[in-house]
Amino acid sequence: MTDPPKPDAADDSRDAHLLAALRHAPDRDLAPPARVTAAILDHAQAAVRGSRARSAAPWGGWRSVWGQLWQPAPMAAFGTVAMATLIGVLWGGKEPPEAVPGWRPEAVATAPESTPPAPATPAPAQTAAAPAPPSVAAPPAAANAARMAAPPADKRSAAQAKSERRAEDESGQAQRLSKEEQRQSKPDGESSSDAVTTGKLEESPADRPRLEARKAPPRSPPPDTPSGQSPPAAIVQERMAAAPEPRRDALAKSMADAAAPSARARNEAAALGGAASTPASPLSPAGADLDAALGRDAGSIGWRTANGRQVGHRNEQRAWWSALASATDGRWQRADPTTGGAAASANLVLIIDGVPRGSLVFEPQAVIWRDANGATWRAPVDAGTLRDWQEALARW
Amino acid sequence: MSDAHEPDDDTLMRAFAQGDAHAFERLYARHQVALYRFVRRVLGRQAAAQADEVFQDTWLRVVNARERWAPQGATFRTWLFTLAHHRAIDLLRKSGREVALDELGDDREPWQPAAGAAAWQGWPAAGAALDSAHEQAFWRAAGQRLLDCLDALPAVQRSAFLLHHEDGLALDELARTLEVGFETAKSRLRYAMSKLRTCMGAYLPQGQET
Repeated sequence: MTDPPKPDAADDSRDAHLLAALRHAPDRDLAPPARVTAAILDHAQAAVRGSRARSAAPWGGWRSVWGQLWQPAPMAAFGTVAMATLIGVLWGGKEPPEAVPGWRPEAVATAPESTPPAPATPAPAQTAAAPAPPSVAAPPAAANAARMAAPPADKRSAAQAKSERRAEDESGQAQRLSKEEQRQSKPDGESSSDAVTTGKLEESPADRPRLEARKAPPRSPPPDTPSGQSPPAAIVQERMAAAPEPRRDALAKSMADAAAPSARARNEAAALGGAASTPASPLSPAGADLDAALGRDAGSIGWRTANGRQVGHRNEQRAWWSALASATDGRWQRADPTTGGAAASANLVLIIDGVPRGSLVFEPQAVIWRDANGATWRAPVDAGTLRDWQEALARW
Repeated sequence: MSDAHEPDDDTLMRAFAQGDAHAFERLYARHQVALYRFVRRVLGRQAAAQADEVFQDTWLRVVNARERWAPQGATFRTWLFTLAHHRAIDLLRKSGREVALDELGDDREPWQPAAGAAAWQGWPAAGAALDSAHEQAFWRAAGQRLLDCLDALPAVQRSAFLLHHEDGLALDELARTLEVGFETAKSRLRYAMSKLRTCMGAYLPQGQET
């Protein structure tokens, strides 16, 4: 401001003498320091740049609107509406549960459950003597939540299957086998699958094959282990026995957690296929041979594709085999030898030392493994995973 | 202050709000000296060291409020000086330098010098051109004396006087800026002028003689 205002007629409260003195005060030409001016102008330019950056973002306008909404008045209005909506949705036309006579929190926790799991540690004598009652007591809420969160094995996505397999790998395949054998040693009424049939669901004709399969006697242990356990399972049992008590509990829990998805998958696969499941992967012997051959001479291993081309066992093939073993682990079922057609129609043949060690056939929803002795196994695999495998094979 | 070809303050502020940094630079150049002087005078000599801080903070508030700014009946300049006034008063209150608003209360008649208009009888004409070095020296001395007298005023009266005389706010604008009623603003102004007249009248005749 260079010209001080002059007293005007409409506002005669200004004193001309004071005004004149003010105009001649020695501080009249004072200016802000240059550093202050620079700081202010820099701040202004930075603010403008920031505004441009926000405006350049596609959601800049929405952000501005959103910022306006975060004012006390809109937030209060929104909160009121949200509360009213929530209350209306929760108790629309009904009294709040606390207001209902006889309401107990337990009633919520023991809501009807279609697939209650088996008790965690049932006594064998009790369960053998007393089959599961028709109406099973409701399971703990946590167990229900875990069961509800677990998707069916045959519908799991590849990512879920991989994460489960990763967990299983960490605790070891032996743990799964041990858990499976423990499960099989229990009477039928104890299994979680039995809980399904002993629950409130009525037995339907579609359930009969599953029930009959469940009523079949447990499989005998493999003959190569005197203790009735597979070698890895025995190792795990030894570790558990040697571990201190708290550590043992934790180990057992981790084994149970790791084995649960696999066991559940086998139960469901058995129920769906109507055939007896097997705890061990039929790929394991071939895998062991592969490992032995790799240690001896990697060149002795080869794969023959459907078009007759033979490739070695390089990193790409190793990864493919590992993926196959992981994805099918726990899903193999013994199948009729004619399943998958003739051996000549195999999509892939594993050859070690010039001898076919096994072959693979891809079906739309499953993969077939036929070992050198003609034993045939089938594992359900989702179509996406199968497609990925076949695309990888096409690049060999 | 601005010629016909220059965009007014409100236009520049709107342009700045829309991302024109150059518009802010023009606004700043237009008001920086007057605002800085106002801040220095309101703070007085005792708090002069905080003048830079108050001045910078006032402009930063302008920058940060650019997107919410709307004229709403007041000019940009009024708004700018209002921001500076509040910031300066806050600082004075926090530092303990602020004294009571008015010793006698805003609704009483201010004391008037006994001599009244006679106090200015020995002064040169206020609006006349300074023809001689003697007159220039007189007004420079009067200006320095006025600054000394301003320091003796309560901050709110000081601010009222400066906004009214130095920055040209009318009484209603002054009331709006000080966020007080019209009469209160008018009363503060009258108190300030009365004290300043007394302070100046007691000194300047002697200065004029020297």
